Amino acid sequence: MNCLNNLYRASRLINSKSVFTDSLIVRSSVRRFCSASTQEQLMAKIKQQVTESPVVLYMKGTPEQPQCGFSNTVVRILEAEGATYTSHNVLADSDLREGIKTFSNWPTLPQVYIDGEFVGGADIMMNMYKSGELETLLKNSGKNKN
Amino acid sequence: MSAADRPVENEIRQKLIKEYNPIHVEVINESHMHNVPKNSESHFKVLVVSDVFTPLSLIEQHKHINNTLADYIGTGKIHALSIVSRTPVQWDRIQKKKELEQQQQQSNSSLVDPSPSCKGGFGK
Repeated sequence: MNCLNNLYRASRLINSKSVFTDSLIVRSSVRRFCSASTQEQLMAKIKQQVTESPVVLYMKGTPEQPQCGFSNTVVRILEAEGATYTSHNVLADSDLREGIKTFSNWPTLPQVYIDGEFVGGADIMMNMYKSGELETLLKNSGKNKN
Repeated sequence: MSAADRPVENEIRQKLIKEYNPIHVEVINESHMHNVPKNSESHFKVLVVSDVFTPLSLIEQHKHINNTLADYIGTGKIHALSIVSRTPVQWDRIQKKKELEQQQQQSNSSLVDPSPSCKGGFGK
């Protein structure tokens, strides 16, 4: 919807200036408007997603069939902790795969969010699991409030 | 394989040395563990021990390294990067723990633990 509004605004802007009759310019302006708002929508969607449950995992594949060794490690850790979590398969959604990296400013997958906060990837999860920090964090998260 | 055959591995090592002046650094090419052509440079693990990390939280340390290697990991030049970061204090403890474990392992080969060796204080 946002995108349509922008498209409308863009077309009005362009019509008011006769110099901008080149269709190429029109197309690129429209594309710029649209992609900016799509990105915003994606970020808003992710922001909502990460708070939908206390523990949210973005991974390659599914917990039943992880498609990457690091994703598999995180699944095993969460299971060892007895955590309930929601997972998202980024291989099934290329926008999400790139979007989640932008959202957290973290270049790799998997990514774990606890209480809406980015906690880390596989290395950090393993560190926190070994140190006992993860257990504490999970205990204090929404996990036990269910 | 000579160093020239591993350009990415060497670039990563040089970047880490320049940025962190590390006490210890390891760049391990783990690509052979993955479904990629032979001699690929796609999957790496780095170990960096540096005082730069002392005031930083674990996640800040990893973000720091991700930023240092942004030319590689953000761009798809390499596919995976596993990070181990340690402060000099942590590293010292790891080394001491390892020594102790090795000592224990040696003594486990016999049924009775040997006593620690004399450190020269007898008769003083």
